[in-house]
Amino acid sequence: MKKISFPMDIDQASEKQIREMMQEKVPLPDNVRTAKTNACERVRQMSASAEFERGEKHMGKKSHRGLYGTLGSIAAAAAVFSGVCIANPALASKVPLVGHVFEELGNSLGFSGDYEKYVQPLEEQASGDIVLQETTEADEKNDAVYSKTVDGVTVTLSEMYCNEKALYLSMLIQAEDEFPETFLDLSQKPIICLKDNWKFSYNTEEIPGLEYLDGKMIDDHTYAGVLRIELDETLTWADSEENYKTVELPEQFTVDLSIGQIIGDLPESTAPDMPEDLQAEYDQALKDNGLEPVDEAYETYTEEQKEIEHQLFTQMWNQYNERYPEANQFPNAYENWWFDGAWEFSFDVTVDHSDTVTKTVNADDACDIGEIKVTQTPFEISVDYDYSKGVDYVVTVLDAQGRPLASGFGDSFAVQDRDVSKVTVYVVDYYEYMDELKGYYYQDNYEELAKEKTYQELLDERAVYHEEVVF
Amino acid sequence: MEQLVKRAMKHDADAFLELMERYSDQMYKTAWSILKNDADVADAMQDTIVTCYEKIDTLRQPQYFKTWLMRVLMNQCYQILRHYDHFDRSGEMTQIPVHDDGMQRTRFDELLSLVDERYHLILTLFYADELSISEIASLLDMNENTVKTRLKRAREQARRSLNEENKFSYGY
Repeated sequence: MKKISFPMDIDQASEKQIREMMQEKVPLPDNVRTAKTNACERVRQMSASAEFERGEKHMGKKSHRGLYGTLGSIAAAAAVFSGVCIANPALASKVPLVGHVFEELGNSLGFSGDYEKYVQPLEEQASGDIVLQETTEADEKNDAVYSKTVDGVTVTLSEMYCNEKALYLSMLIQAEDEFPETFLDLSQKPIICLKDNWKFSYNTEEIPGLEYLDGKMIDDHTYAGVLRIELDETLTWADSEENYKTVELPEQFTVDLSIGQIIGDLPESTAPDMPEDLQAEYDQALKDNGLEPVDEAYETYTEEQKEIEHQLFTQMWNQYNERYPEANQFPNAYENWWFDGAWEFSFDVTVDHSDTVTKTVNADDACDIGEIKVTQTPFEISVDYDYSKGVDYVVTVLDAQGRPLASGFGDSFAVQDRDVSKVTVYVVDYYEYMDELKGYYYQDNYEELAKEKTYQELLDERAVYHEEVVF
Repeated sequence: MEQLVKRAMKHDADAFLELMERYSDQMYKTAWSILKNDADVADAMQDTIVTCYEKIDTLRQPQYFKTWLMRVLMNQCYQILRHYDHFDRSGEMTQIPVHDDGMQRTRFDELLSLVDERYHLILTLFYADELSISEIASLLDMNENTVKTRLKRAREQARRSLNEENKFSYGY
């Protein structure tokens, strides 16, 4: 493929300006954000139904209990804690959980690493506040700083770790009654998420979220999980209709977290099947448009036929949603259980720089891009540079085996299974990279190609600058 | 990103939704550059997300995910435009760019306003979506030289307008 070339008289400043203007993040308008949320909820419903149909294993041995029957009967009394052990007889002899959630979850975490070395129990943070002592009447009224109870469901923030890129927060959720049965994902983890709002002291906006926890059931009453919050996304916001504000991550900040709902996916969807009349209408409409049944002939459809089919399929589901409006909401009683909050917390965060190493290389001689910073945290690697200088280039990083890691501006990459004892930083012409180089590694026959020339060898030849960085 | 796509291709909804989150800005810009109307962009994005999840089995290689996603999105947008064509029999109605807040002006909008409307999509695919010339050619069913020519004209228009604006701003 030929390298694209543009006339030399094009004003370089304008080219940079064009790219910056086109790439500036646009806040989604309310109706677009709502449409996106609805679509995402629909995907979750489809996912739960499909998993059920595939006969995935379900959690627990108990028969399915009605959501409202279960949650409605929960007494309002607060859960009782004893010392730092949860006062559940089944746990009495086990490791105290509060302050040890990362230890308990260990390598089952999707972003595993040596967390014990870095996490801080939250109760140690509150100077003078003893958080998880025996519950007193006063506690039941006021709750402890990091343990809040609402209608028999107690959320306890356990440990925290924050590096320059992400905040990791572990928590226990304890229900006085047993947890409803919950759908397990492919790695046998229960699917539980939080509908919440975050407020960071350096950002004037409240950030609504839907975060999926990574964790497991400890027993029928207790779930332990970890949230990972990407911090870059919290550093820029629209402070007026026209202006965006970006701040540096401060060394210390306060987080206010309000968990509105704790939501789990039920193992079995009880959503009504597609009514026969709507299905028949759809089948008839396919015939009227000269289309064979989808299951048999979809792959043979033309693009236009696929569009017609999709239109008819959408119409059928729109009618379904009108007939069963709750099925189109999240959460809904057909497919979810949930606990209503709110559980509200406020905690101080100190950014931990230990074992976070930033190495700087300077590509100025080769391409005016200036300093390139490669930052390795215990769990991630990322690349930063002055983007206004680097718009004509792509900076990409390969691991010690020559496999691509981060590429581009501010990109982060989990390093848990990669050898990053040394990495190589490449600065590549933007158009060459986009048009040719990046596709090389991902070609179907890359293994064959690599016998002649590996991706790293190709970059060695073509990059305007490269430098090995040893960590 | 590749791992996310691979997981999404196995119908891992979490992975798929994470991809939608990461691409939502690019999806919005692409749909806007065709439709110029937030309400229609909302419909197109909603249908695209659901359709892509339904049809992700048809994606063969993870590295083509973004191109595939944009193709589905553009098809949804064109479907909406055809819907308008069907009802707008006079053919006289012109789509006026409408943001629902009535006044939101981003630098992205500002740049598009400087170039002929026919170049909006190609600029967005190249700069905002960071697709290559060959990927854009494939998406728009054009040959690469046509893409390069249009891109060049779009850049020249934008450059001229920006230079004029810069002169005005700096009082030349």
